[in-house]
Amino acid sequence: MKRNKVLIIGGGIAGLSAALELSKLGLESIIVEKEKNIGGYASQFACKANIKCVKCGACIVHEKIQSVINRENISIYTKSSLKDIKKVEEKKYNVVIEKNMDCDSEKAEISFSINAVVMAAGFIPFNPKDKPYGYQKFKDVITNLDLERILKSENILKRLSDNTLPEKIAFIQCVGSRDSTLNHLWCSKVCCPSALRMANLIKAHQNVDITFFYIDIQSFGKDFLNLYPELKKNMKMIRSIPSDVIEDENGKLKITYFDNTNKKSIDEFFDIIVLSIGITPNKDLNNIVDAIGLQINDFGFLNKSIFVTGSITGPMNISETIGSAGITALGIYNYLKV
Amino acid sequence: MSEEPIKISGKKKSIFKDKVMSLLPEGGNLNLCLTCGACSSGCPASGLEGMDPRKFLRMASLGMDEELLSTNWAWMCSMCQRCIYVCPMKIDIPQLTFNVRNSWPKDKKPKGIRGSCDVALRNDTCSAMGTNEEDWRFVVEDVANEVRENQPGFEDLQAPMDKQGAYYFLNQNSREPVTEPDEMVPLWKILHKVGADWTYGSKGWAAENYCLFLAENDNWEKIIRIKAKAVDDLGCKVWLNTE
Repeated sequence: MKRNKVLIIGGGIAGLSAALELSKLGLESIIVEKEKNIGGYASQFACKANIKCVKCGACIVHEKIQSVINRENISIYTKSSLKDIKKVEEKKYNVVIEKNMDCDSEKAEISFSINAVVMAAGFIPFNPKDKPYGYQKFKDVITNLDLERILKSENILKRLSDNTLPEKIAFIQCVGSRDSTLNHLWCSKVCCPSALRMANLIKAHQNVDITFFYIDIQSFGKDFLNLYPELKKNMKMIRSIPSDVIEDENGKLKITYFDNTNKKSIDEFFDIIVLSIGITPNKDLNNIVDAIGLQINDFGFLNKSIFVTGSITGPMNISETIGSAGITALGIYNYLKV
Repeated sequence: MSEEPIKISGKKKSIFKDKVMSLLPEGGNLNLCLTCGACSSGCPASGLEGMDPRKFLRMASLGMDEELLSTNWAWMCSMCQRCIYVCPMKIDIPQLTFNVRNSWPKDKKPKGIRGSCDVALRNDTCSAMGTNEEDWRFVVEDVANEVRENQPGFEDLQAPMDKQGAYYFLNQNSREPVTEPDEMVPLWKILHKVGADWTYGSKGWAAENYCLFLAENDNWEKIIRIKAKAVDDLGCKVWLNTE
């Protein structure tokens, strides 16, 4: 049992949490991460505490990173990928890891044996460039992930185009989620709570009007229902998704939307528009998925199994991901013990 | 929230929406609405008659057939289909609207559209203005002559009529020959400059089809068939519909 090694694909919050739990159970793990840093998307998220903590989970990621680095029985390969995996016998695989992928002169391959694999490669954010909202055309149309990264380092949000302070900001929800034209029929679950929290964080630091365009607020967890009345209080909530975004000659972003209250079509101009983009399946690793016999569902996410954890199985938030990783670690422990 | 929420009472009576679904491929996806409102945000008829596409579809889903089938809004939809374009579920609201129009008794349908459909059915020109073959031929030849005589560079301009075997069969909204004949000329000039092999037809030349907007299936089909026959009779390859 002691000499058992577990390979974890993905060094995001799922992989890190799984490694920590395995470590506590006395198992050695090896994390393979394609980026140069561990922590994944969740490590780019801003703390959304206003006066008090709103339980967004962003801080936990940094605690996890720190803990993983300090553990002796966890090794980490960043800028690396799993190049080959072969099953030798039950509970024994030979793997080849490619290191330093980004640098041709330092590229190297290493081979070793492992006893189990955990797939924790996470999600791919939906790229909204083909939606009619002007992403990558108009500088001040950004995604919720762009906004996370900005708010992580800046207290004040400015327009990317001219560095001026915005007077009006719009959030558009469900971009790339719940969309049969993309075969994305799922709700991405995390966008409503995080967008509402970011909107409030912005309001706490600067004088700005915020309009929130949504279908219906999707919330998960008991806490959110307590927070929601407070979160929506300072915003204009419009239960309608705009059909497009157009930039005028002054760089203002025009949204035409149907205002339910007044039963009218309204043209309104905004300085910044934030698109809440969906969580989509990570299909980059389908060859590995096949090699180790995992199942992909109709949407492209992986079916749950003891070898699969985190948002590669479907949209989930930070705390749910950590929970999922804990269950996976215990499953792996029991699997290797038998 | 809306000021006047939709009120439903008792059991669903009849289900007009289901009838429409049985006519459409994939049922027009009419059951897939998430009520996101993108349709209403993009619709030029939103807000008219206190109605918008999302509300219209909601009423259909809730079995509010009486209200659905009586709102004048059905006649304000321009059938532009922008709602389908922006809908994440590709819901065919225009076909719902079309079938609502279809369900109206003929004498209650808007007089203007009704009259235009009736007139178009009177002769084989399909002109909603009632223009007959003789008048049509005369106007085209007259205007073409005038251009050839008065506009340098267009001495050879042709506006062929019933030219057997031409590649393009061009049709023409019948408002122009009657009220603004000169409006026909710019397109002729373009076709002349590019050397297109085209013709007008003395039959089935009118581009408009008000029977389609009136949602009279037999009649709009009849008009389309007359037009298609006119194209076939001349052996043309491409039907250029300018509507």
